[in-house]
Amino acid sequence: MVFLWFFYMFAFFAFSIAPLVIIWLIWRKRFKRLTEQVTYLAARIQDLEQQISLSQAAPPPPKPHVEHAPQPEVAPSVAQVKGAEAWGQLIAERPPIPRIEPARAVAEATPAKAAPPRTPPMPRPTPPAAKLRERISPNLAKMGVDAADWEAVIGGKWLNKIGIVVFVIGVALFLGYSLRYMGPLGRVATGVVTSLTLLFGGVLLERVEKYSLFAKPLIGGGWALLYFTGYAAHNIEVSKIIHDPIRGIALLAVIAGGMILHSLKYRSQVVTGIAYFLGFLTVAISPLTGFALVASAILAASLVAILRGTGSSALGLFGVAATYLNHLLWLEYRMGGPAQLVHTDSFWLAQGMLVLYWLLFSAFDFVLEPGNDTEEKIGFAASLANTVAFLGLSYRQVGIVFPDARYLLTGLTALAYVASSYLLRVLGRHKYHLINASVAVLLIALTFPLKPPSSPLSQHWLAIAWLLEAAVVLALGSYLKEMVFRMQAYLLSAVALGALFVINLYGTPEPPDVLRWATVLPAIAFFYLLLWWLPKSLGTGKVLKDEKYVGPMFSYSGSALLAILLWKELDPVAVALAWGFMGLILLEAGVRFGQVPLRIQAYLLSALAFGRLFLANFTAPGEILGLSHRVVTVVPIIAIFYYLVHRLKEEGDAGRLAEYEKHLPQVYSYTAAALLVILARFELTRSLTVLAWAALGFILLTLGIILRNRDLRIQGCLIAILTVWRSWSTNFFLVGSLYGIPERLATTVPVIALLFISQLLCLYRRELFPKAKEAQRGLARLDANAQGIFSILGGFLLAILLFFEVRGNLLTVAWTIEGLGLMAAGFLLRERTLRLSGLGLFAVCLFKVFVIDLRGLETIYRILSFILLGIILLLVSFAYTKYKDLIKRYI
Amino acid sequence: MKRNVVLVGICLLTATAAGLLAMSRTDREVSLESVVEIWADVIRDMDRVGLTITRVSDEREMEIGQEIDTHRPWRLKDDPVLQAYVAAVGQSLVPHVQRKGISYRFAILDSPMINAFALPGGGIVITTGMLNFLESEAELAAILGHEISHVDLRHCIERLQYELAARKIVGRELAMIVRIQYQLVNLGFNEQHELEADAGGVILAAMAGYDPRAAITVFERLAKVKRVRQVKKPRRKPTLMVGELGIALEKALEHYFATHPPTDKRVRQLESVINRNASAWRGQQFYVGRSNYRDRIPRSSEARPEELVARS
Repeated sequence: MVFLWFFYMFAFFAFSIAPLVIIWLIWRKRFKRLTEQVTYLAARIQDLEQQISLSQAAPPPPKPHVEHAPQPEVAPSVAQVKGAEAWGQLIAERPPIPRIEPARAVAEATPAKAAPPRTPPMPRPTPPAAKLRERISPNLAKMGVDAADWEAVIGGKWLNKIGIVVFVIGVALFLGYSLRYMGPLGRVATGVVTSLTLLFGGVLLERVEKYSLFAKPLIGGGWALLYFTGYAAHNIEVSKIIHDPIRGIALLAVIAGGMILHSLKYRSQVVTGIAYFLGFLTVAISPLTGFALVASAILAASLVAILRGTGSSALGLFGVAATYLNHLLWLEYRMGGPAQLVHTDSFWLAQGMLVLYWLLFSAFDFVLEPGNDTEEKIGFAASLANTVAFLGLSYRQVGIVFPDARYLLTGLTALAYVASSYLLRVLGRHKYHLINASVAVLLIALTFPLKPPSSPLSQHWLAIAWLLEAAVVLALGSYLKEMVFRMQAYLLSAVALGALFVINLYGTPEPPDVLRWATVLPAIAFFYLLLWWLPKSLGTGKVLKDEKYVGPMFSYSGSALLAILLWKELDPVAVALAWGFMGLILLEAGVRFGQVPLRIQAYLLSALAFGRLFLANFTAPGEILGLSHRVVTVVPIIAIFYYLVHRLKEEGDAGRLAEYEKHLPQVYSYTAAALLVILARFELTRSLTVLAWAALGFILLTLGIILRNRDLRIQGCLIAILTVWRSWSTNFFLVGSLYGIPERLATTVPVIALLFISQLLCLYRRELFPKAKEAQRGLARLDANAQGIFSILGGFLLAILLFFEVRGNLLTVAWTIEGLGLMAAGFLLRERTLRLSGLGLFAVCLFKVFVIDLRGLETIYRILSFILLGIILLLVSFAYTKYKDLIKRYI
Repeated sequence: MKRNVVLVGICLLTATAAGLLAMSRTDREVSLESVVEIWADVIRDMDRVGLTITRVSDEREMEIGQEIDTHRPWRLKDDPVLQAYVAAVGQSLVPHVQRKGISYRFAILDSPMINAFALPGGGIVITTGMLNFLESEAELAAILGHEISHVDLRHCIERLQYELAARKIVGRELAMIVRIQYQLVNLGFNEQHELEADAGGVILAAMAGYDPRAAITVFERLAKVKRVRQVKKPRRKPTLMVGELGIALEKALEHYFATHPPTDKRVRQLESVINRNASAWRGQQFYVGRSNYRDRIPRSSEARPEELVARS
């Protein structure tokens, strides 16, 4: 019961409201044109009325010079218009409404009379019709439609169409209704008589111009009813007089042929539209059997034949909708759903019919010759509707009956579209070729995810399949110079990229490692390949403005994929190493092939690798073959960074770097040095770090001097400062021993020694260092003053060491001796900073003996301190006096 | 050509590193500990200037220690024998400290917690829980040495130095704020203090003739107890890189607010200290004192030859 209720509701909608909506949709433009037509005619009639009234009221005009007067252009009368379709053209080509001067009009209308004196023209009164229109219906007035005209349009043009629809449906229902007093023959005869009456009546009335518009729906309705009667004669039980199905089909084919010929004779959308609309509708409301599908197919086939002649895409679209709708109704209500196809062995019939529909409507693409852009667009819509409806219904059927064969359906359909696309290209139907090819691309792409679960290839291969398709489409696009194909290839690649992220990298459950590598790596290679391939494929043909960015974008995607893959697959401690190496390879490729995007990716990856070291490597506790994981991973990255310094410098010198890249060698140089400093800190613990730092600072300074590299020298200086600071804050408080030597001495003495050696090195190659006055601000000044800095740092650290080691009674003596040593070295090496350091230390000693030692030291040490300091100060003073001139020169 | 050779060299180096890593997967959770440690280093280095300027004399530090001791909220154990024993072992370490001006005092806190702590000015407190946990006199010396090192390395008084200096300028109440802020900034350095005290304690104990490996034994036993008490969290494997960063941050915060370093790290550090000092201790015999500890008779009162061990 529920089903019946729904069925009636549906039938009510389908047969009462939906047709009206469809008609309105299809013919609303025509309605507009007609209303404009009526408005125009109304205005024209008013003009004429006005002219007549004026001619009656006004005195007779003077005789015009008829022979020189131009003939007024008179609008065609309704009688002159053949068929409603002609109106559109008429309006489009309509000249401006002629303004016939009353005098001239009258002159034309009446023979020459005596000319009265010329009077000024009377003001034109407002036409009463316009006033009425404004008063009665402002909306209609706005539309320019007279209420009376509008009524005429509804009454004269629409009611007949609605009437014929209702009438034919009534007769069709009657033919299917069981009556005791009328047999099948009687019913069929009634149907034939009624339809022929309508048909011939329509033909006869059509000849009379006045009834032409009224007659056409009768012709359409007659054909529809005749077709349905033919259908009922075989298919509807209560009307069945033909039992042989072949005869039944032949009869329908004959009627359809008649419809075609008759429609082509009239070339009237009204006739054809009504005939087919009612044809489909009557089949749909009859008891739906397999034969109903055949009847629909015959209608569809005949429609294709008509469309070839008329070029009306709208009818094509209607045919597609109606045919597939009939099939849907049959499938869902007659059969009770696709599951019933299995029980009734009707699957192949149903699927065969769908294939037949599809083939028939695909013929549109080959035969349609649309007259204008709108028709062409509707034609495209019909073509796409055919695809969507066919696949939708086929999936519905196949999905239930053979669920694992959906991929086969899609694949075969895709192949069919490939073939039709090729044919269309050969036939020169370029736009339809592109549409079919696009559908083929889409269907091939859809085939892959629909593969059955039993397939040996898992979903992880989906992206690879799409990328392969993208490659083929791109190659095709390049070969055919078609931008559409390239766009499709980009879209496919983007979808594949998404699949790689969603399924291969972040999908659950996670794929086995080998599978992930096997599927993601080729994809990455493809994305990198696009960087080279796309510029070549863009060489000719139409190119979008931003298309040049597509290749770089995909290469970024490839790098992102690879970075994430490495992150997911590798041990956390190995990720930074992998990223760093990847950066190296990308930079090398970017430099060698002149690909800026690759270089930028290299910079990003190296930055990521640097950051990652802090996350997973510096505190990594593992060890292998006596080497910590820290050393194993950080050292290669440092090597990579130094290589980048060298490589980028080379490129910069050759002028092959962008402005923003020019400072990168410096950045990498400092970053590598920082990594060395941090590595030493974590590798050697806080207290032993200073030894490594001092050695590192020394090595960098030496390399800076040898390679004449200012940055390395500055790094040496900076590390020396850091070393001294750390020694002061940490190492002087150590109490243990390092391999037999007190730890404090073992960790600070080498530092002090290296600082003084560094100073000597700076002195030895002083010509390399810029003069302090010439140095720029910032770190360059550090380089200019490197020698002095090393001198002060060494002296300071030695003084602190003495403070801790000689604490107490002999500290002043020790500092005095240090001061003397610094002075001596300053004189010997002609180095002012050393001498000043010595002087500074003497000053500290003086302060100490007078302020601290005098009251705190034991007498003997106090005496010793004073005597020694005094002697040394005297000696220094003597030296200054004796070598005054020499010192001045040094200064 | 030369460049290509270098490039190939780097590739080989990377390949070797990758091969070595493949031989020993760690599968360790990531952490931003390194950043916390670097931060702590920087703070410590910068702090040295301020600490030098605001340095407190040994006398003043002991006054402060006395003041804290007067207002102590805890209850000391009334066991003269045990008290004497602990003091005897502690005092045997004192001659080897750097700051000779500090006089050390040893007390026993009646608490089942396994703990010990030091106060500025030389106050060393050990709990009965810890005493019950220890098994030899050398172990007691290691613990006491650790706490003495905190004082000797000025860890205790340094926490108060800025507050004491601020008191002179802004008064007691506002100075409290300075202390809290200082402690927050220096939280990251707690671990470094502990490691320094571990090293110092081992060296003090060894200089006093106690077995330096006893400290390692104590920490290993402590680790076992901790393992029993704590449920080990499985390694979290984040899906997104952002998630990993979150874990790293969480672990870094844990690390920052931890008062003590992880036991395995302490053991590694102690091994390193012992190895570095091994040549200085070559041929030396060290005292373990299990029976002394059991009998509560210090080595200084009764050295037992069977308790001596040689550490090469």
